[in-house]
Amino acid sequence: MSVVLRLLRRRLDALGKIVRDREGAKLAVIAVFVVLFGLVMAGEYLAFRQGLAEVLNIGPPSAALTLYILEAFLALVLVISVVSFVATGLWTFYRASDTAFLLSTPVPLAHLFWLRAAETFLLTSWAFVLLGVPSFLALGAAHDGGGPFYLWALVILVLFMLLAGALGTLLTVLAGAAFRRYRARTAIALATVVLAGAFALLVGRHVVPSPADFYLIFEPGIPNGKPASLKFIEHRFWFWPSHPLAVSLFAGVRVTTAGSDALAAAAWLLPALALVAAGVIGRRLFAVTLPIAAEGPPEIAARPGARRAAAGAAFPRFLRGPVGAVIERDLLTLGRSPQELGRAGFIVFLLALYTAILFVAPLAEALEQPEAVARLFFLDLMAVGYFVTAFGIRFVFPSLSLEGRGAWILFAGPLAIGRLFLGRLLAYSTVLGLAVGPIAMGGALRLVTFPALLGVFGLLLALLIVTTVTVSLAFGVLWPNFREPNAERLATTGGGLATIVLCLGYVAAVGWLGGQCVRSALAGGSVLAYLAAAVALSAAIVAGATAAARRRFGTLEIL
Amino acid sequence: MPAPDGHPLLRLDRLSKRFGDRLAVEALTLEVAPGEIYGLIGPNGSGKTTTVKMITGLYRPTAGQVLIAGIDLRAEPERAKGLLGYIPDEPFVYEKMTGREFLGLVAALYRVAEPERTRRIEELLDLYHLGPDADAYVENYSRGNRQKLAILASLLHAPRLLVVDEPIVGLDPESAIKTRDLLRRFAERGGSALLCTHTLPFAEQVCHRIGLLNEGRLVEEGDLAALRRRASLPDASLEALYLHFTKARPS
Repeated sequence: MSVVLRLLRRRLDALGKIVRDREGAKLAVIAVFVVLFGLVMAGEYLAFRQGLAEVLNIGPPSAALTLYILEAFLALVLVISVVSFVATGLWTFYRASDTAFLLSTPVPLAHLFWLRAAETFLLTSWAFVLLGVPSFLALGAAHDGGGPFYLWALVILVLFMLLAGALGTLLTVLAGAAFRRYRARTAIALATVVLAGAFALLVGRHVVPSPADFYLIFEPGIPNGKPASLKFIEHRFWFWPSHPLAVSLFAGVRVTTAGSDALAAAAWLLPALALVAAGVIGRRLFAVTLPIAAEGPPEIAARPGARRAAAGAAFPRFLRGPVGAVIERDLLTLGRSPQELGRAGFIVFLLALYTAILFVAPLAEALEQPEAVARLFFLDLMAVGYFVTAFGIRFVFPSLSLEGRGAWILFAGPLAIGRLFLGRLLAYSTVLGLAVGPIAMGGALRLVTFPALLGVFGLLLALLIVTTVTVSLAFGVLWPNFREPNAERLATTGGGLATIVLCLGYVAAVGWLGGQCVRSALAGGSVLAYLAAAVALSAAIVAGATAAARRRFGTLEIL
Repeated sequence: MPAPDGHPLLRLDRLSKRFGDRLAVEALTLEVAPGEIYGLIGPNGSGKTTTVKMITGLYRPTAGQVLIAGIDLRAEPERAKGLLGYIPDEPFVYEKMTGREFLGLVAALYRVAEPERTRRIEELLDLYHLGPDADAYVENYSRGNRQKLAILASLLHAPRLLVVDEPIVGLDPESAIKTRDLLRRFAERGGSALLCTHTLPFAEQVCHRIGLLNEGRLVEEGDLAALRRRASLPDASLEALYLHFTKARPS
């Protein structure tokens, strides 16, 4: 077991190294995440405390309502934790980069099993910290719980984490065995969809209350000394593994109104049993499945592979010239990578979701007032600019660095890097315009219907896209890293952070100018001065970034 | 040994490369004539790959000049690189492309137009019998097949100079023999090659001249006979000469 602890400590040391080596960009990213994490937790705490205090004020039914909230909340956190555990665990248990190496060493499979379980637990424990801690603290604050309650809540939280980790481990090895012959990504997608679907059904059926449930929750009857509402809730949630813990936590603030000795015992026994089951069943299944999964799916083992393109298809098919061929390769490889396509799709999905919210939000009254329209116009440009920046930092900024070990193909050849820069600027701007433009314009239609203002929005959006793509490309040239194959890590380097800061600052300036355009237009004035300022600002940034990149081309080395 | 147009196909003139405090290559001067295969050998870290990367434009020399058929690589990089074919030590090829698509991309980079492009690709695929796997994604290729693909890619545009870093690592014996014959034919037709390798018997078979690089400096240069004379080892193999010149003692 000491091997497991040593390997785990090595993983944690990697974090400590960032602090020791004072890697500025990574430290800044960690600091931003810590602040964001803290803000979200503080917000949750305040919201929970306020909500639970309101519940207390409604009188006798407050006890049942509090228990229902706790049951539903713990059930939801359990679902989130377990699905997150399985989605992460299928990779760490079976496809982690050091699996082949560890399999070739005398580390017993049982130890490897516990190592993977612990790694996955650490990676997915954010849900307990982010959701569990603020809610438990809020429960104590709303009910004036003293020291003993917080101690009890801590015990419950630890038991809950153990339970979720053990269930996650069990489901991971079951899913691993079921999908052992599939490609890793397919297995993860299938397991996540199946689990999320099953849990969604359970949550819909047992957690989301119906109007009839509310009638029962507010039922005042007290047969056999216990309110009927509490009995109904205990009956509703009895088969959720989180139920004994929810009731025990509730008993910590409403001492005698719920629970039983059996449930109190179950709060301790269930996590222990789940751990034993994970250890016994999980370890054996893991030992059987890992060697099969490590071989990979049959079509890969029997290479050269079954995955083929159309036989004899020429390349490039659509674009001409050296730069056209490279851009067609960029698009082709993006289209053949489900992971990358998924990430691009996710950004577009978030933009679409934001736009949908714009349409369902109760804005009718606000849109009658010019000042509110100007502010919403500003915020909308900020939001769209944020999505454009997200795309730029994830896909455009790393494009040069990601040539990586294949950089020799382009840079040992007679390719003019300046032309490649311009070609990519044109290509990425077009793709981004096509992906984001229609959705963003749809959102703008919700705010303004005046054609001139829609034109202003369209022009500012075009400026945002071209400038953001130029900055992302140029900063990618200024700070390349051909040794890092991970686009997310590249985005958190110093160059990546500089790109984010400059792009978001620029987006804010363009957003403000957009808002001024609306104010001026709705007051009967001209928008030309503001538009000219936006064009001048964009042109200055594009020219500066391009000039810096051109200077860098002359000294670029493929290290 | 000038080419018909008066220039050697490769000339390195006092080429140096410094990484921080470390001088990886120091004032390296050499020439490769048309029809000549020049082998650059030396221990790990002697500066071979750094030299190759400077010739191919992947590294910028700290000092000195690279001339390809008389064209200054720094002044006219695209023109100079158009004459050059490069086979790297690590044949990384885009995983999500098929072998045929990759060759098409390289042909487009070197402006090989249709229908010549398709004809050349088919002809080259036959060379290593890669045709049946040409439409499979490169991610499914073995290391040897990737190496073959990199070799074929370097020949697509009929270069005048080949720069080869470890040509036969990962190749099966039959393919290694084919590669040796291919390099010889390339030189017989007037092409030049600069070959970096640790496979000394291979270098002995194909190279007309050998340069021994040690700690960034060219310490010996000449054909096998000249090297034997200098070492006073009349029947020595290149392996024995290498050990002699690097001051090691054969066990």
